[in-house]
Amino acid sequence: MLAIETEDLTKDYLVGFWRPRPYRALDHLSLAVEPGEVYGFLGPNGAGKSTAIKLLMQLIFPTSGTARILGRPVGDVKMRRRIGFLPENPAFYDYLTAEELLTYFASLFDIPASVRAARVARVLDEVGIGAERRMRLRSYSKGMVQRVGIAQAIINEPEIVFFDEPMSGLDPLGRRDVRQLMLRLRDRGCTVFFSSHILSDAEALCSQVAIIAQGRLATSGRLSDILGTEVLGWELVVDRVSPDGLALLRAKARALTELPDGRYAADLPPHQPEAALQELAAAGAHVVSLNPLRKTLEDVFVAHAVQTAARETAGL
Amino acid sequence: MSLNAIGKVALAVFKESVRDRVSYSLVLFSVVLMGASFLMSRLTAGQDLKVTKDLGLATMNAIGLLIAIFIGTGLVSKEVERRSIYSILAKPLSRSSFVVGKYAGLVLTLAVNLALMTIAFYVMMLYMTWTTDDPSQLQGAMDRLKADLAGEVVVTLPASSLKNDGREHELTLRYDRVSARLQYQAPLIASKEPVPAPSASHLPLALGGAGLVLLVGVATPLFVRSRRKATQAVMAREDALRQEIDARDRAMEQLRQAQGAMRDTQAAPASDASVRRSDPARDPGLDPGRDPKRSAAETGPQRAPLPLSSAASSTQRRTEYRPADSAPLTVTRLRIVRGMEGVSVLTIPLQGGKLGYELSNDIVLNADSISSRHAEIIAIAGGYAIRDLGSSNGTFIDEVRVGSEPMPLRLGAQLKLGLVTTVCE
Repeated sequence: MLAIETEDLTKDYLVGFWRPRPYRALDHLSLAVEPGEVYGFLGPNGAGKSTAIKLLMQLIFPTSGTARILGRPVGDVKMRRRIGFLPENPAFYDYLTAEELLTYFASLFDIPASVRAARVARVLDEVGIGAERRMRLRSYSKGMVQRVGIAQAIINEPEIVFFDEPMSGLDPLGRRDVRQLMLRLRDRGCTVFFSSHILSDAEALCSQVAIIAQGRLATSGRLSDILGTEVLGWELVVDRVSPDGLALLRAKARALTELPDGRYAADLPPHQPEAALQELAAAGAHVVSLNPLRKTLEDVFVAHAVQTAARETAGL
Repeated sequence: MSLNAIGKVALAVFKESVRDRVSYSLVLFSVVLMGASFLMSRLTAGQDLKVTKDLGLATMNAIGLLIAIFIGTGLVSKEVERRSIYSILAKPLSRSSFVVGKYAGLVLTLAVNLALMTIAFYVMMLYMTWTTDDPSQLQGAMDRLKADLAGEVVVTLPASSLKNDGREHELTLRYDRVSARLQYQAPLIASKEPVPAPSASHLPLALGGAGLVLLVGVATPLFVRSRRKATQAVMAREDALRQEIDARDRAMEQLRQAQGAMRDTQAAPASDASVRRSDPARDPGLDPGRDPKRSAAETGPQRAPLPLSSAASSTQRRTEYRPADSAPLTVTRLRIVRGMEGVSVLTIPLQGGKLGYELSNDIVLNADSISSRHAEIIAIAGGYAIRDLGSSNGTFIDEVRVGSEPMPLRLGAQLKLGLVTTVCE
């Protein structure tokens, strides 16, 4: 059974008051997410990511198409016991403390009162809310509200969590925490479905991704399939280069950058860096690092964005 | 709907109202008002209890109403506005339970507030009875009065003394000493004002009312249907546009492949059959010196996305191919440079259309110098042409006045519509 399955999911919004015109936010989106994956749902701003997630949560209703979560239709209330959801830019009740809010949500999940307090304390620890949990949410910063949002999404130990832009509003430390949390969730067997436009997060976390642009699915699949394993070049950093070595480096490298402390960074072509290394070593250079340059998600993403823009100019 | 979930939502609403300062201040205000009614009752002669009761109950009524309005109006709308509803609705909780729970919470809040006000009210009443004369003494006076009464007293009351009736009554009071009961009878004597029968003067009013009801009843479904039709028409147009875009994409891809093949074969000499890419800037259909209708007829009436057939038949040498993403192929929109605030770009519909300030136009330009039906943009081979529809302030391409004969729009040309200056892009 698939964890998440959508078939030709389409959403038109009516724009305008007197002459409402449909605006297609999502166009025949078909996704299949296997259980146990960290699934990245990527796309530029306004691509329809949040619309798709709202449709999955049935916060809005589709114009056409169907979606199923854990084999059940999205409107099924019982199914929601088994999922967690973090909305984009979450907002909760200002008059409650984090502890009270989570206790309320836990009671909606019918978590027995005997374990509720322990569960609330555990998830708050997990997202790094300390003594502030006794303070009202009114006084929280944006990043802290985001953490509370993540905590309420995992309070019921869900089988699938939906995170809409989980990294927004978080500082670098917070983002690292959330990344690690998502990997812990995956290790527990939880399917993580998250939307993002921050590609480095997606590359570090996802086993599968879907890229959407302008409401349509641009590409989807394993990250390794989309990026390929081909090495496009090598980034070499050397130290203590003699003038001879430098000339050699200049001849071999596609680009050469001078770094502080007499170091040089060179962009070597993909085939046989060993020969170049040997020659450099013979010239007395000291290799600091050698890194393969591969296609990144950003390259794929930009290519799709350019393609879409081109279609737009050609078409209209 | 589950009672369990409703109860939890209701409790959350109650908690919110407990932490809300508004309801506190309102309850406090009602207590102060009741206290004031106690002071006011001192000014009346012997009616102090009645005045206090009236004012106290009225205060409870009004304040209860205010609390219901202040809390009730924001219960759902505030959640939608703050988007806190997103995380709630993703919980195992049906929408109906959510709404009913909110309502139940409001009822609970009101009940508790009303109970508080009632307690305050009773405390004050109790205080007042303590401070007034002993009620048992009053009872004694009443008893003596009753003992003095005997037999019957007959009083005829005028019509004005009885509310809601307008008829004359005879009131008989009888005191029975044995049972110590005061009884009364009030048989009807005469009916002074008969109930008015419907007269002819009511007819126009009744007809008017019926007509209004009929009008609203008929007009509403007609209005709803016309709006639905308009929406469907727009959606159909949208779909047609999408299909056309897809067809263009495919044609473009074919052309690219053909170009690739050409480039491969061009290395080998003596290949006369060459493919010419239709360049909008040099397209004969867009040449201002020629009649655009005639040239349109030459290349076919409908504006093919890419004139592949004419390209294949052309014997001219191949011009440099311009990829689609480097520049648009034809005029697609008008950029407003002067004379209009708020709007910067007008996109020309694929099949062209009428332009003017009226909403029925395909391109609506709401400026003083634009006529209701100003000009018409016509799709011709490889681009668009424009003709004036008898506008008051005229249409000009590069300062040349356009008449009823269409003139082609070229990339970069300056198109003036009345006082609005645009550039073709």
